[in-house]
Amino acid sequence: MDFALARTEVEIPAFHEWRVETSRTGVLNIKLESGTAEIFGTELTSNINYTFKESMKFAISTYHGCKISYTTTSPLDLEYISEETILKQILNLHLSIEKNNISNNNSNSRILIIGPKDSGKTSLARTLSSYSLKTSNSKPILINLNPQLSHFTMPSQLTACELYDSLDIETTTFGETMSTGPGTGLYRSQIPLVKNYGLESFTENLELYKCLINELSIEIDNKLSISNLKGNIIIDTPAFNVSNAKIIQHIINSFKINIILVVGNERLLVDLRKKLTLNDKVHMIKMPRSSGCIEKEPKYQRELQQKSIKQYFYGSNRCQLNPYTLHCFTTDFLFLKPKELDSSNMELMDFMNGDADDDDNDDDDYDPFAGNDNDNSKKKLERNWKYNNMFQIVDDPQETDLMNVIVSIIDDKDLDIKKLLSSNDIDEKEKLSIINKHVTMSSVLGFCYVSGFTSSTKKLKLLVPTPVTTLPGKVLVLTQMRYHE
Amino acid sequence: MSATTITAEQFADDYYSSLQALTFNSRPIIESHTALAQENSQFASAIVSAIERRIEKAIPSQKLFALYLLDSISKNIGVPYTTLFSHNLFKTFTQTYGLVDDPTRCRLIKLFKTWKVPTAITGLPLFDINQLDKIETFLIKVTNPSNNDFSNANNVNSINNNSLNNNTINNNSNDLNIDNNNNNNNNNIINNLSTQRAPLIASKPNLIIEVNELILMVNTRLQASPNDEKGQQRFKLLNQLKTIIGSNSSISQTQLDEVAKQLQSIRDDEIMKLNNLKLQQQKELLKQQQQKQHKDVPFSVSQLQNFMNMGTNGNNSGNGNGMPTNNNNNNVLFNMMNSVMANNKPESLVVKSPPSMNTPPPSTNPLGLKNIAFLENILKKSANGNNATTNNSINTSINNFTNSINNKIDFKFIKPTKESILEDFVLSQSFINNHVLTSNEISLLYNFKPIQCDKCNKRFSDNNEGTILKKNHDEWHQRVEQRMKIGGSGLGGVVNRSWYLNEKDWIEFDYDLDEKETNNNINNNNVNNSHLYNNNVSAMNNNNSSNNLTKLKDGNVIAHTSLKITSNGTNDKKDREDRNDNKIDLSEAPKHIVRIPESSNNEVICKICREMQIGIFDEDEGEWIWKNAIDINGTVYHWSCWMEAKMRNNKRDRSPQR
Repeated sequence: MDFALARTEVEIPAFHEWRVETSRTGVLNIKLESGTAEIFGTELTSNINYTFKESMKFAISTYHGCKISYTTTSPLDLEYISEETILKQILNLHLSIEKNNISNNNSNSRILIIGPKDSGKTSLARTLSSYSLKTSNSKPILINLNPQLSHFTMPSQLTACELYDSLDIETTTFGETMSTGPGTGLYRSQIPLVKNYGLESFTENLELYKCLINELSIEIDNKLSISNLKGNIIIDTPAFNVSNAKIIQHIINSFKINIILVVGNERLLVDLRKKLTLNDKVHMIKMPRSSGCIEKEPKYQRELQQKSIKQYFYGSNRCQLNPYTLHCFTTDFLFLKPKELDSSNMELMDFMNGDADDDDNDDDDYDPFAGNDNDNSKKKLERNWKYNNMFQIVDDPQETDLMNVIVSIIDDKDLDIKKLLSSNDIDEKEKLSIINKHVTMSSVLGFCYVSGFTSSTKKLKLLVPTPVTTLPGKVLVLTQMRYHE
Repeated sequence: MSATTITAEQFADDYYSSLQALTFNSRPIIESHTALAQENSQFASAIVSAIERRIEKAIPSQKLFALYLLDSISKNIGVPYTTLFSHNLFKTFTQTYGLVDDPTRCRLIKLFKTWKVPTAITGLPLFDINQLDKIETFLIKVTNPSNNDFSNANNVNSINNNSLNNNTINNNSNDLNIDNNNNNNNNNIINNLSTQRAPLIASKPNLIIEVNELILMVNTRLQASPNDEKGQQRFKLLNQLKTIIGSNSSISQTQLDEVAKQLQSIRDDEIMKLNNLKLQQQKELLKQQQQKQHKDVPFSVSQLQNFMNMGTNGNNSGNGNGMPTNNNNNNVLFNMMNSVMANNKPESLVVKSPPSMNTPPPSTNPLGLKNIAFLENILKKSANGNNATTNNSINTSINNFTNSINNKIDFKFIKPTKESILEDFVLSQSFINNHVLTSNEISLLYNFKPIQCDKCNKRFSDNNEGTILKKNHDEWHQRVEQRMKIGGSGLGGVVNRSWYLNEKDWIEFDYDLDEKETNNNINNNNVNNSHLYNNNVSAMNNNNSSNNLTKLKDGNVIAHTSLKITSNGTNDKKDREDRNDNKIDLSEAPKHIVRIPESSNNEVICKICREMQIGIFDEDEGEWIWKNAIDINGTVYHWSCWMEAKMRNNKRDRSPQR
């Protein structure tokens, strides 16, 4: 069918980009004819025909000029060549970072990207990661702290991923993770570390969010400590504004950030300079917002999320997967649910107070004079978090709690849930605290989707990614994500 | 060599014969002869005549160097040599001038100009002022196109076309990179003005012309040194004077005379200052030229290569930032470069066309110089003036050299190091906003890892490490393609997503290490065994107690999923034992064999995993067999597949929800 379609050729001059939005139903097929081209830093090769489906919005950019040809089954929603690119600044930035690394005894940079909504943070993050792969021998670590995005996994999660191969440009999740099959054949499968947040907005449970950031940073440090080639750390974030200075400061301290990139908002840069306590080694750089940034409407955002959930179970075009259905009983598991700020439960007040207390503590925590590394790591390991404010136990979940919910499976091999729950020595509050501590310290092994529940028998019908007779973990977290087959 | 035992004639003869060595512009020879002249000043007149003889007798192309010796002795020692040389200076100079080619004439003129500058000690010009004036008149006449009859009147034979001559000189000075406009201006001004030394008739129009000329001179000087406050004041005053004289009001003759006197002194001062200015420029130029000519001995490319290697090695052990610590090194290097460039230009060095966009540029350059990046580094550093240890003149000469070769040579054909390309980068806002990327910088994205996989976009560096990674990567492609052909996971074409790694495994996980193990595994085992390995990993065990995701094989089976949660905390060791007890013992597998029936061919497909089994000849039995196989009612399966399937029993719900 492909050959019946007319091939259109597009010539993109150097330092320009071809911005495309594919239609909802059309299939766009792109081939690089000559020159060099890339999509968000991932180099295109003429050996591959790239396929884009379902409202993909992206730009092919080039430093040398290139010629591409494409076919499409239905007209593109948008297509134009732009000369207002920020390619120069991005490559300057990247090479300057590389140079900075060389000057600092070949160390790695720890880069935090901050900016308003739809300012191109993620594009910048993935471009910098891809360039790092190309111009150094180390592997960058791409971290996503925006629970609305779905890097390598589903939304509502925080991830860290050491990149072994270029990011996949045909999917919105940046790449496939391990499967029992051969993968996409184009890219190595990515190995993310997934931490369960479970909510869509970082503001809904700041304590949990900050705790997970801390845990993630500990794990990154551990990983870097055993690898000899230390790659750059590149952190993508939700749309922080200046009122989030405390949490930004928390990220900076946890990950020992040395480069802060503020995208598309000069005012934010100025305000943050005032609000943040930074040592003099930290660079703050302002990056322009690309005119190619589109405003992601809530509906489109939702679509992207649904797409990534579907992809988790069924795979992508190049890597089709088969999920399985598992029947089990709710009584086999311990169900948790992240607490939400706006939930009307009894602990709301407690929570609010706790949050306020926290802020006071924060001020103590991040005294610039005490902020040296040793102190920092000690603090990290002390884990003085208000664990009771993170997840709540859902006893005997009902249909409304369960139906169509995406459930995270928490690794619980170090915790004997049954013993803990049946123990009489510890009170309920203490139990919850232990469980929450465990959940935040552990990673997510996978997800399942509740496709059916019979309340009379408590029988659960789950869609699971891999053929099992029991789930690999007993602790399940009900996330805010919903999915419909 | 004692003065008492040698007569002046003997010394002069020795001196003269040793001067035969002065066949090229050699600072050491000139310096040593200057020193000789200084030590033996009792033979001064003999030495002077020896040098004059040398200048006279030497072939034209070598005369200049003997004149340089004259210059060196006069400037460094002074009396009695300056007086002695003065006697015949006009003759020596003009004769030489008449016999040499144009570039040399140009140098002679420059040399002459240095003589006119008052020396620091005496405050007078170097040689007898009359001789110098004669030479100047001579030079002005031969270089003045309007003065055609001079060539006949003079005994200079070779000058037939003065205008041509003049042009050549101007062109030459252009070539030599002097500040062209100013210099030409200066020349004209000086040439014109200094001849008009006749006393001024103090009339208004004359004075205005005079003032205009002086304004021009001051202006020229100000262009060269704009910070000169006195010069600026003078410039203003002269302009004021001009308006006063130019006004209609009458000025008495005595006043005009007074003004004329003052103007004369200003003129003298200006001429001296301009001379000084030029002298500085010339000194620089001269130094530069001397260096260029210093060792114009051709060096072979291999010598350069050797030297460069030497430089790098010294470097590695030394300061390690790509700079030789020794100035001499720099000097020698520079000269060598010069000769190599001269020998090889332009065909071999100039890249005829930039490499096409898709093909990576060749990693070795036509000269076979792997270390040219190092050289480029030096050039670049010197050009930036970053290097405090390099002395200035070398700096300038390398600078000029860089400029001159930058036009001719494109460094694209070399692969510069990442460090050298990124030399000038700074992590700062203004740099990121404003820096204009060069092609070299952009190509770092592609050339840092120049070898691209022909199946995907992955890139590899062109060193050993890159080759190994590339090999592993190719093997990965092969494995993946094989798997895509036979379909899926080895479980009947059904592929599922594996669980993510837990934090501990994630921290320890390293693709590259994993890759190595995979390769060893493949190398050490035959086809059947590696197949077993797959099954081993995918084997599912009901009694398994912990989630275990130890070994990941990309493109192979990954998830080793455990199912049952034990009620007691088990330690790892026990855990493993349990697992092994309940698992298919894969070491058993090769023991399970099926004899290949006579009717069947050598190959059979396992109905479970759909992989091909190839028969092997078992020497012990003397029969063709399938290893790791089981025959169930006439159908042959892998034994491991069969056992696994059996253990999986009916518990599992395998209805894919599509």
